[in-house]
Amino acid sequence: MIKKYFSLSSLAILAVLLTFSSCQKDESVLNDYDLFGRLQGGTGTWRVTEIQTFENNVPNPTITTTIPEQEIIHHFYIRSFEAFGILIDEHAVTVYTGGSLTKTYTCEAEKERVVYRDGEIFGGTVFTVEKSTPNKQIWNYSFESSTTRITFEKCNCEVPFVAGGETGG
Amino acid sequence: MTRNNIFKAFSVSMFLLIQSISFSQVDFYLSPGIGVAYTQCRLDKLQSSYASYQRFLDINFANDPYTADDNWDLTSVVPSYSIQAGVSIDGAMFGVAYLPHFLKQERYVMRESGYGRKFTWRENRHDILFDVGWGSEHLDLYGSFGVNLVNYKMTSALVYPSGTLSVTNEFDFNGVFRHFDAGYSVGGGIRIKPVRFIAIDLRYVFSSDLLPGEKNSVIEDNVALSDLSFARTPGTSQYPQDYTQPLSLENEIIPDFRRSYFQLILHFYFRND
Repeated sequence: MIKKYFSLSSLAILAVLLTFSSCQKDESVLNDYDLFGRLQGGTGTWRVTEIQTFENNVPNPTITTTIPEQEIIHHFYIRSFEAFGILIDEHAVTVYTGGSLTKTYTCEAEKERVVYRDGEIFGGTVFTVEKSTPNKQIWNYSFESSTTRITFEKCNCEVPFVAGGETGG
Repeated sequence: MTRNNIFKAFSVSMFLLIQSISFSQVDFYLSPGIGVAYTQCRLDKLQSSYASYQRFLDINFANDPYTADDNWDLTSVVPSYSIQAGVSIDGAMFGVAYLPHFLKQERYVMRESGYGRKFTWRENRHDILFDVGWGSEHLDLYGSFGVNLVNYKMTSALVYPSGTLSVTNEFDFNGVFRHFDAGYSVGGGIRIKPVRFIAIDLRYVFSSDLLPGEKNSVIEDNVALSDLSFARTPGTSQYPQDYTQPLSLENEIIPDFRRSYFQLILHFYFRND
């Protein structure tokens, strides 16, 4: 009887291990915005390590590679705001250049496409995801005959501190 | 409900079941498995859409000849996974099976100018089945019923002469079109257990696009394959049934795709008796 109990308990432990093996996957309800979980993991910070530009209308184009002189960090996080008396969560990204806040966008991050929206009702800057791994992202932005390829590496760095201002009492 | 949530609910249920029967006189089994499935599906709407894209090129890019991959496959052979658990008592067996299938097809239509389009079709299917039947030490025969949860995704990307892919909102044909659907699943199978920790499962599953009673009812799901990104041009969110017609909310595909499988799965068959 005891042997049987231990046999069954080992099966129960296996069931629990299977349960937790599925944690932290890039999944969300209906699988939309399934890349955002990866982007916001850890501190949610990604450093731009390389920017390439090339003409996309020719085979084997000449590629110009640039290493950013100033540190560019994209910080992905969920922010909440109140509308009609209820709290709504929103995916957001803030871009910092050289330690200064450049811009904050709402973000739609899917495995194939990432959209940065700057308050537009319809529209936004759309990146095509070329490569997505837990520590590296390569996105393309194409417009007309030009493509910009941006390489990010997960940095888990501190979000730059931006000093606030106050004019009132 | 996502794959993770289904999997967690299944595993926790098994944990509770195992603990509750620890000292009773029943044969309990837990069997993860891997194998292969031959599967068939009517993707005629996708095939029609793909053909219409080529007609669109014939009409609008007559001086830029193209080559196109064959139309979407209706049958395929894919890896098959399974996690099953259950009990058998005095010749009867009852089990629960989780069967995920991940299907993917890609098609290119490339013009002589170097521009083209890449279509990628994905179906992530999750069948959760209850197996009921006759069981013995070396053989089980069972019928199955349950539900399927399916995520469909069609990615339509422009291919530039440089080889770069783009799903940006610069072109309305670009997009990531999705749909979630649920339906009932039925089937049956035979499980052979030649040695103590091995089982071979041969199973047939039919996955419908409808839930019981859904047809012509208020819960009937007529949602189309859509790209709901805010970045899109308004009115162009549906994946077009006919590329030669204007993009609109009427020019759409409702993915009422029914799929059937024949699976052969090798199980690691843990049991207490």
